[in-house]
Amino acid sequence: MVNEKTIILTVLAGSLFIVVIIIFIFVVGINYRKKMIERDSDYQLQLKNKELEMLKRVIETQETERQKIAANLHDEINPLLVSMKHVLTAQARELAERGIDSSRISNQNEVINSVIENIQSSTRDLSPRILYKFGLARGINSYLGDIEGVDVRYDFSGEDYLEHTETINLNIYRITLELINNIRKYERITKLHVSLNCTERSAILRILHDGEGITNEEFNQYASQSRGIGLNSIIARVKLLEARLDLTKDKDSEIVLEVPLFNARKD
Amino acid sequence: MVLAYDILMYTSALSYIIPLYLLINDKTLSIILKVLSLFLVLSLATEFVSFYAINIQHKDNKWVLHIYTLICQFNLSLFYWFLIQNRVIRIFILAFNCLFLLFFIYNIQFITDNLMRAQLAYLLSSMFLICISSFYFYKVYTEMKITNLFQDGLFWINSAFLIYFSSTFYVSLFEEYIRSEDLNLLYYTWPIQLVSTIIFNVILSRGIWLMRKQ
Repeated sequence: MVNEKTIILTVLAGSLFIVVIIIFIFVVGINYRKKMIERDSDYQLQLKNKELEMLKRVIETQETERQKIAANLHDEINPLLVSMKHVLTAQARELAERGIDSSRISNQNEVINSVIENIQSSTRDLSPRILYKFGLARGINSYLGDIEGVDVRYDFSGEDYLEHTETINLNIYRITLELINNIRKYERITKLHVSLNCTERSAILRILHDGEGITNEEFNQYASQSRGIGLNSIIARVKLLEARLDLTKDKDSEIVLEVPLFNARKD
Repeated sequence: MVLAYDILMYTSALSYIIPLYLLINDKTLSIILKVLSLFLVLSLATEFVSFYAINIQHKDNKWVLHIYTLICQFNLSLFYWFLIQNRVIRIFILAFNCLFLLFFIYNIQFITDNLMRAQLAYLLSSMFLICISSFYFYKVYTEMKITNLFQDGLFWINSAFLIYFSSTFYVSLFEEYIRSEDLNLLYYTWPIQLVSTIIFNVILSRGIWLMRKQ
């Protein structure tokens, strides 16, 4: 004879059985969602890595081309101009000795001098030898030393952390130059303070100036509207470095570039 | 007790109307939903026939269980035939249905106890449907083709089948024994079947609603 207690236990067990199945289905659903998110993030990571790889190749190609152009200018055009200058100087001297007016030749000589200076400056921009030979600090310092009419200050600390990080150094250098060029192009500045502080984990570049400055939103807006190389090059290099670029607009405007260095030794 | 049981029984029988209403309102049903509609119509019909046999004719309704078992087996096999587009599974479904038919005929011919033979076939059919709905979960889980599982109509429909057939399988296991002891004891165990029917129809409605949205 079945007693009531057994029946109640059977019913309870049956109810529990239904609950367990419902829980099982929900666990399957929740696990599925977790797995999907993991797969999605893996896919996003793959996409990001692909994009970074592509950016890296584009920038590397750009740098190789720049170096080729710089080498051509330095090794072929520059010597030609220098020899031309020597010829003209000799001719001017000869004419002067004969008592003939050589001012036109002297004028042409000055033009050639100016062309040589421009070529040297372009060569330095295209292939910054100081950066390659003496590192980022000297590279930026050399560029800042050429700026005229602005009170420039430059601080640097933690140089040791930027050894063997050539790609990072080159990209920070290019970003710094592009940012300062843009500041000088679009703002009236009298003061410029550049600092670069490196630790084991990151390199932080700060550019402080007394111009009007722009915010992050304005920067992104300009970048999306711009068809030029400059801003897009900054964005591409920031992405490649997995860095953070922060622009603030205040009494003194500031640009902060934070580059992680913990993966730098891969270079 | 009897009143509560009656309310539960009517609610359970009428709960088929919710998914059916959702299906009737849709004029562009996919083949899977057409098979499902047929299953729901036939299930509702068996509920009415069963009710008519017991309450109006005051006769035995065990033969209705035979028909219901056949409806479940063949109709839902067809449902999973269209749902799982896998050659091995389709061969398995076909082979199992042939064997089931043979078993069913044998059951009717040689097992004399009316309830026992209906119960055996139903248990076998339930086991098959539990296995195949679990396989569908496995397939979905390993293929990872659905972006949001909780927004997928077929996930809910399959869940409804798994919950329903698991719980009715459990009840059917004890039903024969309980009936032989004391028929009144069914007032305790049968509500599991009724509640699972209501849960089944609610979850099924959610699935149909999501499929219509898709």
